[in-house]
Amino acid sequence: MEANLSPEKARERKREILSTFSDLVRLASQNGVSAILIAGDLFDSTHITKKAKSYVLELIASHPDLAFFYLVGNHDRGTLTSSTDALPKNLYTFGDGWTSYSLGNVTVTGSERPDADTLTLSEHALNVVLMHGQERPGRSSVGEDIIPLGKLKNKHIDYLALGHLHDYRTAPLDGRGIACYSGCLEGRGFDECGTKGYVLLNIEGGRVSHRFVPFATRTLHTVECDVTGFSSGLDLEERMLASVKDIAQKDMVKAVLTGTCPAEATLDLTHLRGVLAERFYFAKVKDETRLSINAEDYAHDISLKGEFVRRVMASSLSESEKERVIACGFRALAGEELGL
Amino acid sequence: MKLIRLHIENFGKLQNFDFSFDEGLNILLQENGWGKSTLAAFIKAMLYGMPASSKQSLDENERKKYMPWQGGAYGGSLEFSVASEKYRIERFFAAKESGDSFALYDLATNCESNRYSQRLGEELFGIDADGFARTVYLSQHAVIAKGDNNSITAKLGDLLDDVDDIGSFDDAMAALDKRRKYYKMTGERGRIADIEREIASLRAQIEQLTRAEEMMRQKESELAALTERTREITTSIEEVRAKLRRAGIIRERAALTAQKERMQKELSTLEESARALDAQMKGKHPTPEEMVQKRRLLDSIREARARVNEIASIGPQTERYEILKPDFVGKLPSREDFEAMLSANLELQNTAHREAGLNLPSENAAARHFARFAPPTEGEIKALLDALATEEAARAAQKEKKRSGKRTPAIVFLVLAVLSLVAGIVITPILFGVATVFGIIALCFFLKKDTSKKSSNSALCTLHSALPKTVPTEFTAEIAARDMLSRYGFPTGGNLRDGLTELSLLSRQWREGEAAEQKRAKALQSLRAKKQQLLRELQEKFRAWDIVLPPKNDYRDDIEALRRDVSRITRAAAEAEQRNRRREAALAEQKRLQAELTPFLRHFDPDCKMKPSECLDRIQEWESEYRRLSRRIPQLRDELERFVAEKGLSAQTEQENSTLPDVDALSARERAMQKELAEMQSRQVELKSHIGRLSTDVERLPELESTVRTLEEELTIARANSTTIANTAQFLEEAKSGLSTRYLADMQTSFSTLLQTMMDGNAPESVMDTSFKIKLRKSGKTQHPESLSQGWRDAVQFCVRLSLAEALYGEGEVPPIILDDPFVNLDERRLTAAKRLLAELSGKYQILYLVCHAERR
Repeated sequence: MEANLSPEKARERKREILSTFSDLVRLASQNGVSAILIAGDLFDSTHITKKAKSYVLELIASHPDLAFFYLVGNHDRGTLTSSTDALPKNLYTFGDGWTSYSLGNVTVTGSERPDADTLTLSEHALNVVLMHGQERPGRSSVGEDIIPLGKLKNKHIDYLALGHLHDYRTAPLDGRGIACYSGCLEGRGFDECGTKGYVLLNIEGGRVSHRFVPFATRTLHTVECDVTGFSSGLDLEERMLASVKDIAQKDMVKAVLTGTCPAEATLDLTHLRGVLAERFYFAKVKDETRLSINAEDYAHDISLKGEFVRRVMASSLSESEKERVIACGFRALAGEELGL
Repeated sequence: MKLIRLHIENFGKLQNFDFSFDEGLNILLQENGWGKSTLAAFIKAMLYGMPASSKQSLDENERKKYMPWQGGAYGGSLEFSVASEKYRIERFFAAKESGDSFALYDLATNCESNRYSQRLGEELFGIDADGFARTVYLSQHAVIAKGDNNSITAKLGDLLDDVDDIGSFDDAMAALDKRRKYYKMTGERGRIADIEREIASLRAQIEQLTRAEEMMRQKESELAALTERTREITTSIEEVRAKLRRAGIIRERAALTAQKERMQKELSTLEESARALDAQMKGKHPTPEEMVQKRRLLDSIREARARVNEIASIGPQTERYEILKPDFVGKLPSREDFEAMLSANLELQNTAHREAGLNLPSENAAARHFARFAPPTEGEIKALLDALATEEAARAAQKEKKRSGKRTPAIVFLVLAVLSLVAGIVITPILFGVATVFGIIALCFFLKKDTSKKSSNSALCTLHSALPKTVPTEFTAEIAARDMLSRYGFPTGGNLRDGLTELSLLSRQWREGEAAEQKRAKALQSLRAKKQQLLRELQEKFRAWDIVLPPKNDYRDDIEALRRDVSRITRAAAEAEQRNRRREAALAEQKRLQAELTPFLRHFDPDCKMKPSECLDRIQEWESEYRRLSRRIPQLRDELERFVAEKGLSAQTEQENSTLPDVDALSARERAMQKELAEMQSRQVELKSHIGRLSTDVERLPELESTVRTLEEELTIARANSTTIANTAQFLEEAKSGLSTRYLADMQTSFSTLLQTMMDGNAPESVMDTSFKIKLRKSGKTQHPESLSQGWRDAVQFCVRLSLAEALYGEGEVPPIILDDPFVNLDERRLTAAKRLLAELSGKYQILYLVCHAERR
């Protein structure tokens, strides 16, 4: 997870994520939902706290009206179901082989180590299948946790609930069914930006329809801010604020500064982060600008700076390192903060 | 490169100005304010263009500074030659760089040429506009302004650093070094080392926690196995317990039947006991209230008896009464008796008192004189007194006669004594003794008694006849008187008449006393008789009550004692009477109560074998037991019925016929399994506790790993930053060093030559160090230019700038040197030398010398 939250906020965020899950369960219970499908990675680590595990198990147990179908993912293997305590009766798990449960006229099937070739489903049943892994359109299953959608065609699957990717996305399966990643309920790091929520399945008239419902407490955003040609620190700040103006205050923001920046200019990232931190639950700023240095400008500069640039440019340093060295040198000569 | 001609359309204050350049030295003499600096700036602008700047200051914004005052096209043209080719630059400037125009024409063809671009200056001289301005453009201002710092480093500093800060390199290096040290210091210090240590520590913790996690997994596996085994044992225990329960039911049934039988037996026993008791109590069952009443009755009897006993007990009064009773009963003295006794006693007292009074002997003073002899009569004494008087008269006459005869020797001896005394005084003290002797003799004479008596009466004759014949007659009365007095113990030495008078008086007193005594004795005798009579009477009275008292004068105390005794006896008698009445009453009450209780007791104890209290206790005991049985029997009967009904004992069941399994074996097996289960549960608790602890530790792993990731990111950045800082410092150092060493030798040579020319060959030896600092050896002493005069410093500056230009442009195209009146401070001698130098340099360089005074032309 790429977020770099402080330990306090990280703990708070974990509590929020658990709360969102409990809100989902309550919402489902209040709206007559029959079952909740979890296609793996309920937790992002095998090292979950006993408290969190107990909380989830108690939450499940306290809603006997809901059936929880829980398929272990690659991140939470051996966490929830390894408990030596008795599991709630309404928690249905899956083994290495295919396991099916009947829920009214719906058959819920899943496997922790799915072998598409061995999957056999009734043509006349409404089949919901749970799998965890990376879908591939073809039939090849080479690689770890690969789900070859090609092999799952014409298996009478009405809805293939996939887990592994943290964004909502769908993929056509065959004429009958569809594969769908619900994504995670809450984004945890800036590699999980965007709207997060759950997929609501509606089974009616022998057909399964689905709808993505945004549900996250907070959304994570990564916005780019082109600083090319900025004239002052205030200008830079205003540009950055303009790039985040549509983001809700409760969300988490990562601003990436892009474009070119004069070598002499210093980007005060601490200040910029502070500006954003005042406006959002969490903010970070990353500098991905490039130096606006033209080597030609210094080719005939009979000065220390010219000589410096010429020597750096002629060196074997990487281009990015050259930029960093020149920027650092210029700031040092200008008596400014080095920015390093 | 040579300048040929220029045309200024509009540039600063210059307008439509043309100037043609000669080769070599071009001198432009114009007054101050004409625009010489503007002309120099125009030449630079033609070669390099005008830099874009948003600065507001005119000094920092050339484009703005030289904006034509009068308006019009802002720019002009400059013709120049390079090698054999001639070109014309046309540049016009706008407010912004984007509006600038540039054109280069080849004068040979008059066609536009692209031989050089807008960066023509750099392409020609290999130096940018700033470098050009700092080398070949020497203004008066520049020289003077920098004159205070005559170091070549200062000049080169301008060249090396476009921010005009000679200290920027050092400051930059210091800043880099400081930041480098922040990241990395010797001795494994600095932020990088800190992070590395922190990461290492965290990794160690993670490793430890990972091992803990593995252990936790093992414990979890063990726990799962134990849980499974526990489940199996629990099942087995349940089976055994089921068997035991069945056995228990069988045993319970048997126990219940036995219980039922015990209850039935107990019921029979109780009923039998109740019947026996009823018979014993003859059907009478006193109520508890009745028993209480009987108990109270018995208590009342006891109290009455106690009262009787108490009344009957003899007290001290009663005891006294009993003692005195035989003596007094029927003969107690009456009040009259006591009054009579008191009256008698009073009389006795009076009698005794009178007796005592009479018993006292009368004080008869004369009695002692007449103890031996009866007193003389009055006549005898009178006669003797008369005799005496007669004798005394006779003797008095005789005595008078003798007294005169006796006086003469006394007088003689007295005279002699006086004379001896005088002589003693006059002659010798021895004569005092003699005088004393004479005195004594004289005194003896005077004192000699006259014993002569004369008797002249008849009494005396009588006496005289009674006296022996030897007594002289003149002293017969006296002797008789003396005898008489002596006989009755009177002194005889004194006056005999007084003695006889006293004897007469005493004699009369004695006779009166003798008469009184006889009268007292008679009265005393009478009183004693009366007293004896009274004593007898009183003693008789006392003796009547057996009281024997000695005779005494007062029996009041005895009478009072008797009266008190009688009073006590009377009271005791009254008390005894009263006690007797009370005792009779108590006895009557006791009998009445006994009469009330006895029938009740007789019912249960006709033979009176028991004491009443024992009897009552026994009755109560029987009654309690009977009552208990009366309650218990129906209760037990109900219990039995309920028990039979509840336990279904009315009919025989299957269990009663079943075979009892081996309960002991089953119990032993269960105990063994329970023991095993307990051990496993204990182990499970241990494991869970251990897993819990491990879990608590392991739960920290994500946070630690996250921290490690964050630190690793920070470390990566820190390392990259550290590397970048090191690279920056290295390249800056190399740049400065390279820039310095590249031009040092050429500048040193050129500077020395130029300075010698300026000083007519008398310039001191000069040295330039790698920091471009100039030192001059003058008069054998090394001096810094700063210590020289302003003229010297200007000369040194001028040479430095020219040497820098030669060093920079020596190999390629050399731009024209523009001198904007730089010799203001030179004295005439050095000014001449400078002009000569310019003349020499004009052979090598095209020089534009702008000057405002003809003398410096």
